[in-house]
Amino acid sequence: MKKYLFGFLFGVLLTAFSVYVILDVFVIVRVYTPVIPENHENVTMEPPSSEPIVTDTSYSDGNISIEITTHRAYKTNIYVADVKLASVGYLKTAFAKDSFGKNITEKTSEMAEEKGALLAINGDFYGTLEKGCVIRNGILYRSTLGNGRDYLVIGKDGSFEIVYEKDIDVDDLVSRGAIHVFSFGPGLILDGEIYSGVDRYQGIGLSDNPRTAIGMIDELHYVFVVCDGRTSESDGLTTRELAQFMKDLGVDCAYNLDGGGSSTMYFNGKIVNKPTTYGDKIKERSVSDIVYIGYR
Amino acid sequence: MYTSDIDKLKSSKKCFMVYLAVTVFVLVFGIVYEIFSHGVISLNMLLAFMFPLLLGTLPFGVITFLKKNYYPSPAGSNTYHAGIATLTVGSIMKGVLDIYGTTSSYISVYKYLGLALLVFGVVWSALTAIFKK
Repeated sequence: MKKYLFGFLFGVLLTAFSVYVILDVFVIVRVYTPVIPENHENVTMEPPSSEPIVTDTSYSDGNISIEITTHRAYKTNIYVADVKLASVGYLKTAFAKDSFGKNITEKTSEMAEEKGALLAINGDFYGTLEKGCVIRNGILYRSTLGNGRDYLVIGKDGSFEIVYEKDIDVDDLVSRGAIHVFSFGPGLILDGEIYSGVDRYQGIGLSDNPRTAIGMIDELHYVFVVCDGRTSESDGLTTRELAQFMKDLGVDCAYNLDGGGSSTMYFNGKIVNKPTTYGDKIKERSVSDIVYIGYR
Repeated sequence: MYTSDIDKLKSSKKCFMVYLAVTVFVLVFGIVYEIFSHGVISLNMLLAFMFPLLLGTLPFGVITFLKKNYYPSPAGSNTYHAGIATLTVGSIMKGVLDIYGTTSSYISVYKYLGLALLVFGVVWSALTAIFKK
């Protein structure tokens, strides 16, 4: 019996440590407090200048225009929200439970309702990664680099820029007034062509899956794209197929956000697509953050 | 052949059989996990079986096959086995996190602790064998 004591005790310790790691990654909630710059102002956008015209698939007022269309390509249902804005200030992001941290999640539709969003998609699920620059609504929440990913930088003029991590200078991004920085990727389209690093994430990018992407067609003219996957009626897309689809939409710059079970599009109080959770079960999953169009 | 030599040979054979079973289990576990990963590939998950295969099954298989009476000292073998277990579990854990799309700084603990235990086990066993002579 004594002969096996070391093995038994080591096994118990190894198991206990592994359980702690799993809890730390998936369960234990940690809230971090960002340093908010002294000159930072919360921007509240002007209310609609005219009475909105709303249908099941469109919204339009003097400042915001949204049109939802459904497409079928690559044996996949793809939902496209064409968005035109009077100001980039209507393109916003929100964290689950209004808190930046780890294992803080909420459903896309819940966050969208709380924010009064007209349109929302899931964000980059920053909370699952320990590293990667996070800037939202002009505030730097995380500056640690090291996840080897592509970043999407949305400038104060509403421009989109894809930057590979090794070329990122966080201080420069802050000084240039980047309003949103996402660290998921890969980049999909750059200057109207399929991005050279589109197949960079071979582990997750080469298989058919639900995907979420955001792209810019022209100045203050964007597309939010979500596709279904993992079901008998919709296979899902590889990142290259998604890039090709967005190129065909005439997008100038596009970026892949978190996908899989996270992929959700919300419009006008309803979920547009069929998000999956626990594999292929049709159910909305909770995520760390959303990108949305709205006034507050 | 002395009784102690026969005991050592039996221990090597037992280790070989156990590591063979562990190798097959980890290989099957990795394949099944990948089948349900919606096409997300993690080499850490798929290749986790290489640790028990290369560090356990093969060396103890060679010892058993050649009927050598070498078997590490208890302290050396305990830490060596613990090292293999740590590296194997660490590789599976990294695979789980890869497939979910997340990371943890704790994963490096498995790597460094596993390697340290492995090296300690080999060095201790070698020193014990040398000083016994």
